[in-house]
Amino acid sequence: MHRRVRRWSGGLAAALFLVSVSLLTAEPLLLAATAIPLIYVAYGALSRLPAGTDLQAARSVSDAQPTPGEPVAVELTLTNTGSSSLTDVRVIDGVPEELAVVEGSPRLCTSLRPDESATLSYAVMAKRGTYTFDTAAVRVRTLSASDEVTVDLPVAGDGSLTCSNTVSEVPMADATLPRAGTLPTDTGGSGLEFHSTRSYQPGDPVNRIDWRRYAKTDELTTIDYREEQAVRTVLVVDARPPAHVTPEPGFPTGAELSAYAAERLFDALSRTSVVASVCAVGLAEADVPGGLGPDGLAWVDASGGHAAAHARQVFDSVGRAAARQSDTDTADDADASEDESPQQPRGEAARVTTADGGTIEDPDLLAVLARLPPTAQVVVFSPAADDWPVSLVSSLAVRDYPTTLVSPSLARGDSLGAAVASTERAARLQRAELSGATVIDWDLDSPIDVALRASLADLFSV
Amino acid sequence: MDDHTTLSTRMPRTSLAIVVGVTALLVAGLLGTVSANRAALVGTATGVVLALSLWLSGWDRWQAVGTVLASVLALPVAVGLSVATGGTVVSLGAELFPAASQAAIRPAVVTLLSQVFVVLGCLTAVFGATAATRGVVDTERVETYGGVVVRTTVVPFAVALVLFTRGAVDFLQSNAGTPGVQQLTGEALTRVLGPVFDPVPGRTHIAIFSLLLALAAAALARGVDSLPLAELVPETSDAPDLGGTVDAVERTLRWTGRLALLVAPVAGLFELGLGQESMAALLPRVLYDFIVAVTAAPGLRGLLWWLFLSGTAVSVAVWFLRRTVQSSADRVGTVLAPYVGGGVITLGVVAVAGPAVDAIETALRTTPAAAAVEQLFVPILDVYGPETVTLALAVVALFFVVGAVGQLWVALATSYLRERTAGVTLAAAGLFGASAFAATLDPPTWLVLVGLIGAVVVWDAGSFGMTLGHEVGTGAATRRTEIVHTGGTVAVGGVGAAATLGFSSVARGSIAVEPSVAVAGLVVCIVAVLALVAAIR
Repeated sequence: MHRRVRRWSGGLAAALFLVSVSLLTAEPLLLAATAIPLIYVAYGALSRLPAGTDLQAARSVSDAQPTPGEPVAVELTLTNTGSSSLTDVRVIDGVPEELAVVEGSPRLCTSLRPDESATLSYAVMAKRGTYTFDTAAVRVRTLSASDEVTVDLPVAGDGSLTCSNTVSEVPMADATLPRAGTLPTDTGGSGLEFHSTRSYQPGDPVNRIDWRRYAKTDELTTIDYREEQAVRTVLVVDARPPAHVTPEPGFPTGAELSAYAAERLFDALSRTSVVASVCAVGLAEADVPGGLGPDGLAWVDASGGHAAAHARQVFDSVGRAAARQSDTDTADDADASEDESPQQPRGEAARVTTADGGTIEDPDLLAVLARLPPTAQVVVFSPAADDWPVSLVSSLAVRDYPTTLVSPSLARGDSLGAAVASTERAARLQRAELSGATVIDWDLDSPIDVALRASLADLFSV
Repeated sequence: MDDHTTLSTRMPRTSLAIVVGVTALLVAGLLGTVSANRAALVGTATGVVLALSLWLSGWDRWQAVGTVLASVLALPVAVGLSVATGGTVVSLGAELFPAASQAAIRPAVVTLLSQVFVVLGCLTAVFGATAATRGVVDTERVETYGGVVVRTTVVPFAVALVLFTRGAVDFLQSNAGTPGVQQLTGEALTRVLGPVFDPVPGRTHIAIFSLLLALAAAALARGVDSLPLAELVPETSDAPDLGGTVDAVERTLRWTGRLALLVAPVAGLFELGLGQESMAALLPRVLYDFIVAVTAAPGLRGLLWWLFLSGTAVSVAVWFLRRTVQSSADRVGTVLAPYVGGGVITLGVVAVAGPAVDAIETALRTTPAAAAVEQLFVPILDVYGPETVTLALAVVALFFVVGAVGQLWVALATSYLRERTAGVTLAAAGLFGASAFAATLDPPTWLVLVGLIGAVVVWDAGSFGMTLGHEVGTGAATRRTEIVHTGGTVAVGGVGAAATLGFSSVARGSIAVEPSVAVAGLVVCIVAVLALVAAIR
């Protein structure tokens, strides 16, 4: 796009001013000095971009497959392949909108002689997903800045950044369990380990009748073995608006990290015999393909077909919600939550007691409690940015659910706000622990695998 | 790369350094051509203070503090503007006048005006360059600052008006005015105000006294009613029943007022109809003497008048406070701050009134206007006193600031000045004007040419830097381009300067030969050149 900029037209006014002052004060020097503004007007009017202007750009990305939260260095090299010097070349690299620049600037302004190159370096924060770089916007101006051409310049070299590090690519052998997928219980029934004996009741399986005792006493007795139920685990991901906190621009939000941790655990569990359900709290109807359930939860049961694919959709939905959250302002969010509320139970009748004897009326919490199967282990993934996860954990403790809280630690930096947030979070985690839950404090500097590995054994040995 | 990116609109450091450096050097050089050194320095400082005030009025972090400071700084800005213009005129007037001959008057006037314009141009340049460093010239901020200065002016203006009215009334009543309108007005005032404040002794004045009493009682009752006395008393059983007492006082005052209002016409009829002798005969001697003593006492009248004023003042103050407590603390601070600043300015001006008036009088006596000082300034000072005169001068100076800020706002609102480049445009315009007018003061030719080219460089570097900051941001490396661009502008200016020197040697003395023909021819030539340039573009 070619554009003329009339930036020197003020020179005419300046010339008229000099003429006026010259005539007013009878000063011939000023009359002659009108040459100065007029020559600038001519300079602006006659200045044109040289024909045969040509530029080429190439991009290199230091790590095309980084892990989430890792800065990735990007370099864009611009070369003047034309025959004339360009005094003012401005370039903006087409950084994907979702990625935040954390170091340097993706913009450059320089002068280029023929065959000279300039390099633009910056770093973006990697996020889950595949992101494609746009073409670079380039604007070339003349020396007088009165003639400019703007073009979208195609860039050679690396054009995308993929950050999809799932568990199937990373071995988690150490994290599998000695007795994966089984939960010993104190009730007698069919199984392997002896539990108790009782009198025979019609209908008892023949293979559990104690024939020796029958031979001795002529009484039918049935042997009960310790029942081993298949473990049902529910992964609850906190994706409510308060969880969309981020320590610095471009860094994944608390909800995204929670979803990431949940996804890794889900993949690990699905390779064992553990029956895992996934539940995301706080998503909007538009975030989830196929919509939410009537209770406002995105719930995927292991019993349905294609559970893994559905679970993956839910995890992706959390990322979409994070993107939507960052787009809309706080007011819009308030409206959205108002819109969602009518379909969720509210009011006096829906009160629930917590471990400390208080009551809660949070509709999300009530929905999760209502939906949980009677026997299940619950793993809550939340950045603990507010009291909601603690309320959930203590409500679960009241109902005797074995509960684990996995919380990514988002407090970074030495600012006062970060220190306060960190202290509040520590207090919340402590309260969760006191209410009987296992708490996994995930320090982001170490991979989630380490934190999960350290606690998975505990998780399934209840 | 659209123009609506939300990047910082600050200019890169290199451009900023060019703008500030070139402006500082040129201002120093141009002020060297002005002989009124002190006024020139004050003008330069005023530019900085004005930019600082503008920044303070938009200081988001400490809004109330910023507003108070901007408000208090309005006086230094006003005084600085007055000194930069009036001071230069006074200082040069003493130097250039009286002129040796009639022919010397015109050059002297041109020199005087040129020096004033150079000082004002340098003031504008310093203001523009300082403002450009923080990008403080925008419509909203200028509007806020204008509002602050207007509200700051209200307090000294009101006080000056009251003082002026009192001085005028006293003067006119004293019959010291010249015969004619002044004396007639004075007599009319005496006739109206005399019966109210200074009644004729030895007779009754029940009607007017009753009216004054009614006014005072009504105002006091209203004042007491508006005070939040009941809310301030603690609600304990042993606390005195203040509410009842207040009600009783208020009721008494209201009834006193009504009674006095009822008595006034009746008493007036009696006083006019019967005359003093009949009344003295009608009433017991003691009662008549008492009524005469009370209703004719000037002290009592004064007391009633002050009670009326106090009651009204309390009502207004309480109404104002009741309104302000409903707003947020910061908003109250911001709204009240200019009035506080205005109060501080008033007190300060009144405190330094004596020395200030002496200094002004001494300065004026050195000018050719010394005779006018004797004829006008001294009598005014005698009538109104130094406080009123100084306050009035301060208010006039503040009005100048309001006018200047208003012009700036109009220029911004009508987009004659673009917000993004307003600071550098002002700096360049100031430098250009100052350089043009400096040419008439016989400076070295190179200084005028450098001044004109420097003004263009300041504008060019500033506006280029602003566009660069807007499009690429201050975080990117841009120094090379900025230096190359400014180098190009300076080189073109060099060509212009060479052309100027060439034309100048050809045109030397051309205007002096035959003014009317030469001027007409030159105007035609210039219009032709301008038309040609416009056609090329």
